[in-house]
Amino acid sequence: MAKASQVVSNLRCETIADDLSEAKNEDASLTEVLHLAQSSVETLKEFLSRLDTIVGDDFHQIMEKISETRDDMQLLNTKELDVDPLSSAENELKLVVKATEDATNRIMEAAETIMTADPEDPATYHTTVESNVMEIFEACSFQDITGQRINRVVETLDFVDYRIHKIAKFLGIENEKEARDFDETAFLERLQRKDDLILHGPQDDGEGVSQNDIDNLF
Amino acid sequence: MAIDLSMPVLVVDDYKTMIRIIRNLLKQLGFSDIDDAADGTEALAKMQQRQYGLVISDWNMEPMTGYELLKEVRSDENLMKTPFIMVTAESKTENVIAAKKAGVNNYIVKPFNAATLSAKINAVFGE
Repeated sequence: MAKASQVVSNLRCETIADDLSEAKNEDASLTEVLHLAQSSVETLKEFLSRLDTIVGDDFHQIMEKISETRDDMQLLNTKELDVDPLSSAENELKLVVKATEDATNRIMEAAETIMTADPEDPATYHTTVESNVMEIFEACSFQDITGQRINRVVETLDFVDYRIHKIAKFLGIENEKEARDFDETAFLERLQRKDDLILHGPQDDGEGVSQNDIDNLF
Repeated sequence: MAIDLSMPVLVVDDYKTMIRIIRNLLKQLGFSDIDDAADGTEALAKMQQRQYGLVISDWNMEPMTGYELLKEVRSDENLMKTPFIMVTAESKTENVIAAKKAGVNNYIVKPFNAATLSAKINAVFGE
């Protein structure tokens, strides 16, 4: 409908313009000039009205996209956001450093005790060596705990990678190669497995139950 | 029940260092027949081949965890009576309760010492 009226207006303008062109040596009547002006205004009005609709549609689409992205971002705010992952990772690394330092000190103290033990008294010497060797064995168990803590830091980095990947996907700036490298299904399965099999890993100081509490349960 | 120090003991852990530590502590306590496995699947396969007098298992392992191993052992009529001690860094109440419900005989939180291991073994065998 709009197209038809625009064609009519264009034809009217062209006709008047042709008439004016043919009568270029004659004075154009005021009526002809007014007709031309009126047709021009109508044509321009239709054009602007169409332009307004097109721009309006574009803005509407942009608004919808922003709204969709906002909704998608809200979907990312799951229970995973209850804990600040980077802060947890920082804490894990601090505990790794502390556990390593503690173990090193225990091992060195045990070794120093053996070094300074008096071999002149064989029975005492034997007992000292044996108990301090046991102390060294026990101290070496830090490797298991720190290994689990470092694994949790790696998992946190995986989690951050996953979140960035999802946000990039929503914003349409996804790097296809990186997206292929990241196995989202495997990542989500790992999270589910942890829930199903109650895998929390080592607890921080003061968290979790003590050996005494456990002994009372048994 | 007296502890038979010659009974075969199976240590299950995915950290070779921890297996080595527990082996040495057990040797120190007088045990001589110590076997090991890197996860629940390997442990279960070994248990189906040989009767162990005691299983000492970690919880967090792949592909089969110690918790899954415990449930498998307790549901197998040939293995269900095998004494089972969990030695793990998992120290949340829900872990301890889940393990107890699944039939674990005792539970040690890492890091631990020889005295704790000895006490729990003694408790399992009623000494």
